[in-house]
Amino acid sequence: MPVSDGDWKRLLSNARLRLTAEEEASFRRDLDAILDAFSVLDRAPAAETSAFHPIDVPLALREDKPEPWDDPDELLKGRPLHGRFLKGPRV
Amino acid sequence: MTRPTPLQAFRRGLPSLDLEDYHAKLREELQRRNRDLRFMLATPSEPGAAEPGAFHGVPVTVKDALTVRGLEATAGSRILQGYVPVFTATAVERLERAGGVVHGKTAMDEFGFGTFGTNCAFGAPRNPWDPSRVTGGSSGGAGVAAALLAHHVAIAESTGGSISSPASFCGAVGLTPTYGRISRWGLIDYANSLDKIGVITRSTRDGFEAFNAMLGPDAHDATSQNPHNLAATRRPVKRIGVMRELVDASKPEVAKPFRSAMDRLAAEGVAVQEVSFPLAKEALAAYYVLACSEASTNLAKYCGLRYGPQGELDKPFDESFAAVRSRDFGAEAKRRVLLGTYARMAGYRDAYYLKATRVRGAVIEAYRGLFRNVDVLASPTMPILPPRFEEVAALDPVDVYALDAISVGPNLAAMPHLSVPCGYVTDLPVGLQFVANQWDEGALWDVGERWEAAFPYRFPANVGAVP
Repeated sequence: MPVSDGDWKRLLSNARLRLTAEEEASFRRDLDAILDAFSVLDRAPAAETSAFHPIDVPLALREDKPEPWDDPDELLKGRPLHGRFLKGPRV
Repeated sequence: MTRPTPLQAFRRGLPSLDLEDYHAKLREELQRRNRDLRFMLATPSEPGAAEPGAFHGVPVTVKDALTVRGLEATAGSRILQGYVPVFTATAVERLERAGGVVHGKTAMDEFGFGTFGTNCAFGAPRNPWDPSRVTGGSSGGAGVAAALLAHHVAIAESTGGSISSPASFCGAVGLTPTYGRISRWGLIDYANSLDKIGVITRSTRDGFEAFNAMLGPDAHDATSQNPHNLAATRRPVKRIGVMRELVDASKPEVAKPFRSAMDRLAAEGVAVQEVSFPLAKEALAAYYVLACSEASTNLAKYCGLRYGPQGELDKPFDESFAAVRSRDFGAEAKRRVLLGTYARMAGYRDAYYLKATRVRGAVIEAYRGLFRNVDVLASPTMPILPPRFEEVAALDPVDVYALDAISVGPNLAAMPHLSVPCGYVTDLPVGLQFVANQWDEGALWDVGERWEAAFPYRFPANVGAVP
């Protein structure tokens, strides 16, 4: 099924691309053709669970361990503040 | 008596070699060849000094997707032009520590987005067998370097076939290891769950020597591991499964030398049998959905703020970012960002992205099923001979993606694979691809060495050959 006008607009916004009219026509035609070719996925055999990684990846994170930390009031002292937050430069 | 490999020949000649002079002359010759073949990008002002080690003085080239401290890294994209990394990728650093001497970065399809090596922002490399033909992609420059240089290791990277394709089209040996064998630290990502660093060389043994120097866990990459010692898992291959559907999908001029190669191995006592792999089309679709989904998130950072050329931020963020990306991404990058973003969009995520992750699981199981009966699988590497540039330009994206049908399967399933030359048709090389089970690179080493003992390779040049 071809990509709808609404979805196409949302897609360009999400992808952060601003295309020329010529590019839009070409890429939209390509996307429709690619999605049509990939409709084979609808009927494809699938495993019970998703394989986000093709191998078992050992957990590399350690358990969180609470530790004492510097006094936040000391850290904020003398700095530009907005309420209890540090104020950064305007970008 | 077995022939010395190119690296063994280099080591034999090393005592009589003035290394500084050798590398200076090699650099000049590479620059000269590069004017015609466009396979190199950034090069150091002068090659570094060689550390002592197994690769002492061996010329090394690095695909432009990997960082080398102080050398511009663009990943073949205009959006990264001018980016000079402050650190070296683990794989490169390990080979340098073993004595390798980096001669520069090799050309590639933008972010690895290509089958033929034609989606390059800085000019497509040309095939040294016939410069009117493509090199294969995305590690096209690495394929050219391996075909030209007599003693050399090209560090390359594969997401969906980017080592096998140029190795096949350029007539070299391409080794793509199991996902996770070699640290990806310092690699400019295409798709994190698929990217694998490997090598293109002139012989199986040379490739495995370089692989051994680079593999193993790295604190910078949580997915890097080495669960089986490679030397311990090396084992003789007794049974080869020929992937029927993939051979049938290949052009006759490619299938013929492939079948001759299988006959030759059978004559040497290897049991060769046909096997069925009916999921090639499904694997292709799942690969492109997953790879583009991951790519579309990876490329989100190229927006002119931290990476990419910075202009005046005189418009809202979204408009400024879109302007930079639209100007500096090439057509294939835009196409893949659109596909990947669509596959992850609300309303379509289940049907495309999540379904593809489950199809990937089924493809892995299908491969494992085949490896219960054979040691390695075999097929042509690419279904066609290297095409001419104008032939590639006439293809639409669906046709181009379909030509990846052989190479994406093992990449999607993280199975290691090795492409070796198996014939020459009208003076163009034909590649044969062996695939092994995850972590079973030792089987590839065995079958690759056995094959090339019976089949001497040809190359279009012998740049830097030591006397």
